[in-house]
Amino acid sequence: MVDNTPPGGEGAQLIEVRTAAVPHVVPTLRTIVADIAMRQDFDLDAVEDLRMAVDEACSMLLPSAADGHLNCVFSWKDGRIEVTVSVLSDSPEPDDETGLSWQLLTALATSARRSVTPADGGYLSRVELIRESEAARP
Amino acid sequence: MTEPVEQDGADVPVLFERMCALPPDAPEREALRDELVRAHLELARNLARKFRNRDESMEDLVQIATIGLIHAVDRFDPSQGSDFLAFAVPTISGELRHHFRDNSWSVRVPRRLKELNANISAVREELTVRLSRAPKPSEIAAHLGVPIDEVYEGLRAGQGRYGASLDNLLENSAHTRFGEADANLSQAELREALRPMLERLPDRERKIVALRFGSGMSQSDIARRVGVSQMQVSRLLAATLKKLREGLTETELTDGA
Repeated sequence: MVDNTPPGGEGAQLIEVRTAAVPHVVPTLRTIVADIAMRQDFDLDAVEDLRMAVDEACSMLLPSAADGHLNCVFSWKDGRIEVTVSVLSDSPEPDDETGLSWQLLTALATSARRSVTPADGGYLSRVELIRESEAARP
Repeated sequence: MTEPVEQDGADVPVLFERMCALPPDAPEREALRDELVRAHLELARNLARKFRNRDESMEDLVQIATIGLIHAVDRFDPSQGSDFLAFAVPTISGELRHHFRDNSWSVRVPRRLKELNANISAVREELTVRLSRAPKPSEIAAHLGVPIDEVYEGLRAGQGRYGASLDNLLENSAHTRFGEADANLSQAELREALRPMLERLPDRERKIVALRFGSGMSQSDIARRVGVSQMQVSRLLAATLKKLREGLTETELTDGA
């Protein structure tokens, strides 16, 4: 997968997971993010939020995974966790902004962004979400 | 089953008397029993609400409370002279408590972790109230006086309590549109009808109702707070609820006419 900037910035820790784009990997990804958030001492509501956010990000992208792969990068630093989920899709169209998943994601994450960029004869469809612990907020 | 309580002015003690006067195999018995259960569904719901936690579905709890209510109707003996509510409330609460005691975790988790998880849940509630936000693992560890790694372990173990179906992961979730009619819309009307009646209650009674059903406090907690005995709280509560219920039936009748 093409990735340009190291997510999370200088000195961030990073875990990258490449997996098949099938629903039953989602609980594993969810558990990873919850564990990271817990160890970063995020409050327990934020841990739950992140768990759900990853769930939603994956369920948004899974249906459009053309080559059957899903890539998930977790990075964290100083009370800020960033998760990037991406798949290679056939279509240049990002899906509907009114979809429930996207609405939930924007509510659960401090910020969420999605993008579709041409790549490898297809389109790299990506959801990035950032959650900051309450303490990191101004 | 979830329709609002319909009491056609029937008096609960009278219904019980009629039911008990009938021979055990009389066909009318069934209808009276139904009526008694239906008249108290709201009570079962309120008690279920008290046992609500973040993981157990409210529908499940209401089901269990309703089973408790059916037991209460079946076992109540009016010749003992006590009020049905005073009998039903402990019966229903007991049913709910059994559920929490007997319901095992979906994944087998060592006893030590179960206990740790229970401690963490309790502290989580306590700290949430104190901090006005969810606590952090470090705060829980400090409060319990255990190493933070144990808190991590306990939190992780909690995930094993309720299983989730793999099928429901992606079901209907990705492309459903956002927003729909509020499922509790029908409750809003009742709530509006209740408000003026609540305002008309004497101060002490209103406070007890608010503490009981608004803040979900137990009767003994309320007793301590208001400075009366738990039995008195129970009696006042029963009397107030009866008053409110009668009031509601009246408004329905007058508005519906």
